[in-house]
This record gives sequence, structure tokens and C-alpha cells, in this order.
Amino acid sequence: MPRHEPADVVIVGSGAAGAVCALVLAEAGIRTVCLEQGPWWRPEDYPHWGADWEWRRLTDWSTAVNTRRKAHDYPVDTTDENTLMWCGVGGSTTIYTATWPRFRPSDFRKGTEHGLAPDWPFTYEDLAPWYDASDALVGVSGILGDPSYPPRGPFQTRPLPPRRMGRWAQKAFDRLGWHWWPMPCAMIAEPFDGRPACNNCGACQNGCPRGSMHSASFTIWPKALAAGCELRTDARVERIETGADGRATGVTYVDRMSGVRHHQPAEVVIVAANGVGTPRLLLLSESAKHPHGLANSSDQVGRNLMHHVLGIAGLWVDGVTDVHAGVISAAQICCEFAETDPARGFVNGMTFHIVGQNGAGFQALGAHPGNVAPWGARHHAHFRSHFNHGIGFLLVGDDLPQPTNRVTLSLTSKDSSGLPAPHITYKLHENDKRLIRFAADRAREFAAAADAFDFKLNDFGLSSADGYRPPAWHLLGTARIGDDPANSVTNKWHQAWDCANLYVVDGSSMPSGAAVNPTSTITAMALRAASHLRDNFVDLRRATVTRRD
Amino acid sequence: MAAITDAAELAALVDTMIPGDELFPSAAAVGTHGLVGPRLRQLLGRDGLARLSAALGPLAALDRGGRETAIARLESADPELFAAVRMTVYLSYYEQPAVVDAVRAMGHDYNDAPQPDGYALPPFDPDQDLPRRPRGAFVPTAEVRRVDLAALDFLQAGAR
Repeated sequence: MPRHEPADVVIVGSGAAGAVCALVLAEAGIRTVCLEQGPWWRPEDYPHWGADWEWRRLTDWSTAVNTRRKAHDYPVDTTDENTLMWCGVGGSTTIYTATWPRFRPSDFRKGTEHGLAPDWPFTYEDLAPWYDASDALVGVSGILGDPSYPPRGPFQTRPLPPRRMGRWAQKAFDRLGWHWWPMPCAMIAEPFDGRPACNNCGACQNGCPRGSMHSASFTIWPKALAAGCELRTDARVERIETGADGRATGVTYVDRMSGVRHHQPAEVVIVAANGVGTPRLLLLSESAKHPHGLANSSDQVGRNLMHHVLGIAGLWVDGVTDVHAGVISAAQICCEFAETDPARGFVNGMTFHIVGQNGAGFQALGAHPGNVAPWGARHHAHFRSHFNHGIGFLLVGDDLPQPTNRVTLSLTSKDSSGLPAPHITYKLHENDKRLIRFAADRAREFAAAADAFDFKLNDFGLSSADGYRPPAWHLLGTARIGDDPANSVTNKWHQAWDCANLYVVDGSSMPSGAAVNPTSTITAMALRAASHLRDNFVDLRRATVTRRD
Repeated sequence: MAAITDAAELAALVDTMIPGDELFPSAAAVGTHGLVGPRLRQLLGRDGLARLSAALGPLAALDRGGRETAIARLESADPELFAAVRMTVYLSYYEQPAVVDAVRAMGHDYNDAPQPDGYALPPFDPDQDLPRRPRGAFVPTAEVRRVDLAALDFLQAGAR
């Protein structure tokens, strides 16, 4: 087995968190190697350039890993959800929406607030400077002054325009007396850091081949490579190796192109493989010292999987909305119901996002809510009345972490390298069901306030006999940070309790998921964690004990 | 027996699902079936295509009413298979240049593909695009308090 020169740090995964860690450490002169199981995706690989872009978005460029079925991906064994992720340099930042709201102060204090999720081991105020710093790194469009958030640092560009869709929505929000504010997006409305401004093409759910969107392959990796980080693509990590003392010694990976196994020794291992890939790898890395999987003496690895509880509505109005053009989520966020109010019959909150509906083909298919144009003689009449007259209304709720919602290793499914696939069990808590039903009622109120002539809600099966089976894009909670080794996997600096030179830095680190898209928080957490590791590297590279402070 | 991979069968299928009108061409008139055949093969595989052929039966020899009956029967009997067919037909139709032209003729600014042209990006206008009377609040960290869960019986067992 080829054995490489020892690295100071080896990072597994090149996505939102892994890229940030690579940049911070490499810039400090720490010898850093990053292993990514997928390839580089070049701008010309994206679907945006061809008339078949909508077909590709739902097939070979789909966010759904079990739809793509590519060798560089891994299947997910589940009937509970449609798991979404992307493998390749930049990870899932390659084809996400770059919706960039922050968590709220109370999101870090759910243990205090209701006790059905733990408090985070740090506060909003602790993370706020890292939010600001990560925004400055990736470029965020927005405008200050939102009274539903604490004062914050600057945006890098002005907001993106909300289109006629957003202006229609504003009136509805105002009629209802609900909060609204322009949605922060990691999509630049003006040139920034050598990258061009968005040109409003409307295909953000395919990613952005221009680099206007923060995809780590465009925004961070060029800098990390220039700083000296070594990035190996098509390198699928099979396990994290540990020594007799239980500390990590490096990783074994397979070069997917040649099939040859390699060993990469390292003094510190960072796992940043997302909320499904990370627990999978930790469970695959069992050893005599770690018989239940690495960092799993608490039996918390893989548990508490959260995705957000979701619904998506569409309303159609007697006006042109420009819903096929522009950044998909660059309109408004509504935080009117973001804080817990037990009088509603549940805990936790929700946000509503005004979103676009993609192109003509997808709109004929009813867009995200599935309000499909009928086939046959009535097809064109429906298309005429609905195309470019829609407004997307996304419902995002804070689902509770439950130990029974978990990632384990599949007994039947394997990836193209023969490794067990992850198996996922995910069911909504009664609290989550109540929350999304409340949200659905608010969506109906919104449609009425918007004078919509048609409305459709996709609750992803919640009200059907088959049950809720959501698109699961936000992969959170499965190796959470905490103050107590008994109910968390790492300390507040993301250092594993059971293995002092192992770090877990990605969505799996989150003790609770808030009611907004998580990537801004994942990025800020990664910047915080990597900076701490950098600043204390002399001690932490030799650490044998993970401290609580 | 005619297979759904035959051009005449595919043309009958797509034209029945999306006929033409005074503005929009019929699906077969713009060659949609040329895309639908290989895409259905990609999506369904050979076995799926055989299942589809068997479910639809020969379409080309039928009149419109007969075709509609056959497709409606598929829609009812195998919704998942039908949804795959519908997705393929709709997406393949709306990417045809003549259909894009028809969308434009409705008065919409609509591109053949998202890039390289994109759409105009007007500057954000604070006078129009910010709330006149901003509203909203948050609970500061120091003010987060235990909420009263007494009325939420279903939560009591899980609180920790």
C-alpha cells in the first residue's frame, strides 16, 4: 500500500467546512492534505449552457444522490427520505441555493428554552465574529437593519433584486402584518474578490458556473491551493486509522481511478464529510480501542439526525412574477414565527422564504409544489395562466433532534468501492408535525393575502398514508458538539472526546438545527474551529486528552 | 407488437399528451419524441420500457380518444411510471427551440438556456424593496427563558 509523507493535518471532505479548514491551516504553514472522493467540476460541466438544463437538473445533475447513481457518490439506504448531497470539490456547495441567513440567539439555547434539544456549548455572540469573517471570505449580498436579528457586520454587496415576485410578496406580508426582510444570499450582486456579479440566470439549483455563488471550488479552494494545501480528488477514505493508544494515525483511502489503496499518515484528522458521510466514516473506523466506531463511546455518532421539517407551497397570481429568472431565494425571508410560542401547540419556530420556480419545463410540472399542468387538450391553457405567474413559498421548521433518527451502516447496500452505504432512519416527532401543519395554515393565509387564484402545498406526504418523505438537504446533528462527553461526540472546539487528535467539523456538529438554511453557520463554525486548531496547533497536535474548556 | 421505442408510437404518445394550439406546436411537430425515446431508456431501463409498452399497448393505430384512454389507464394504474413519462415528455417539449419561441411570443423574457446571457440584474431599490415600517424581533441570548410546556402534554415524556 503506498504510504505518503506524513501530513500535519488530513481533512476528509472538501465542502463548506473542509475547504475553510484547509484554507486556514494551509495559510498558517501547517502541512495540510485534503481527500475528496469526487472530482473537480469544471464550469463547462454544469448544465447551464444547454437547452437540456432542466432535464439534467432532475437526472444526472440532480441533488438527489440516489437519482444520480454515480460512482463517485455513495448510495443512501433509506425509504424515509430523499437524501440530497453532492460529491466533488466544494461538496454540496456546488449545487445548493446559497441561502445565507444566520441562526438566531435563541437557536443556541434550546436546552434552556424547552429542554428537548441541548444548548450549544457556545452562544450566538461567540459565533457572531466568525459569521462576519466567513461572510467576508465568501461574499454575501444583503442589507443591514433587519430588526429580527441582532446588529451584525457588513454585507459584501448590495442585495439581489427581489423581482416582481418579491414585490408581490411584500404586499402580502404587509397586509398580514408579518415580518419580512431581503434574504441574505452567498451570491454576489456586484463584483467581489475577483468574481463576477450574478447575471440573474435563474438556475441556481444547478449551482453557478460563473463563480458568482459561493461554491467552495470557486471561492475558497483556489486560495487554499495557493497557500499550499494538497487536494487529492477521487480519493475515497475507507477508514480513519488509530494506534494502540486510541489516537488517530491517519487515514486509508482508495484512489477511485486506479483502485489502489493508500495510507496518509497525519498528526491530526479532520472529518468534514457532511451529516451523513461523517457518521458513516466514524462507524466504519471501528477498532479494538473504539469497538463501536470511532468517537462513539457515548453512542451518539449517527444519532439526532435533523433535516429541518419542510413544506413548499406555490401560489399563482394575476401578474407576471419573473419567477424563472433571478436567484432562487433572493427575495424575502419572513421570521414572524421564528421564536417558540407554546400557545401554538408546539415548541421551536419556522421561517418562510419567497423562492423562484425554475424554467418552463419545471413550471409545467407544477414547480416544487407539483401543481402539474394537465396533459391533453387543457395543457396549454394551464401553462398560459401559470407560467411566470407563480410565487414559491418555502416553509422551513426547526425539527427536534431525536436519538432514533440516525445514520447507521447498511447491511445490504454498498458504494462503488464496496464500502457499506449509510442507512438512514428519519421520522418526524409529533412536535415537528404540529409545527409544519401550523406553517401550512400560514401559507394558505399568505396566498389569500396575495390574492392568489391558485394555491398548492407540497407537504412531502405528511398528510398521506405513505407518510412524510422529504427532500433531505440539510444533514445535521449526527456528531454533535457539547460540554458533556456522555451526550455529545466532540467538545466545543470540535475535538472528539474519545480521540484527542480527531476533529469533526460540518453539519453533523450541530446540536440543534434552527429554522433556516445551515451553510452560513457551518462555515462560521468551521472558521472558528480551524482558527482555534491553528492557534493552538503546537499543543493540540500532541494532545492525548480532550479538555472541556 | 409495437414498442414504445418506435418513433410512431412515441410520436403518438407525446402528441396526445401535448397537442398543438394556435400558438404552441404539438410535441411531435417539434421532434420531442426524438428526445423522449432515449431519455425514457435512460430513466426506466429496458425493463421499464417493456413495462411501459405493455401498459400502453399500441397507440399509433388508435384515434385520439383511444390514445387518451390508454394514457389515462396508465396514469391510474401505475402513477409512478406515468410520472416518469410525464416528466420526460414535458421537459423534452419545453426545451425545443420552437416552444421557447412560443413562450417568448407570450411576452415573456425567456432564454434557451440559463447561460451565458442570463437576465438583466437591476440594482436593488431600497425605496421599493425594504419595508416602510420594519417589524420583527428576536430573543437575546440573556433573555432566553424556560417556556411553559404544561399545555403540551405530548412533550412531557421527551423533555430532558
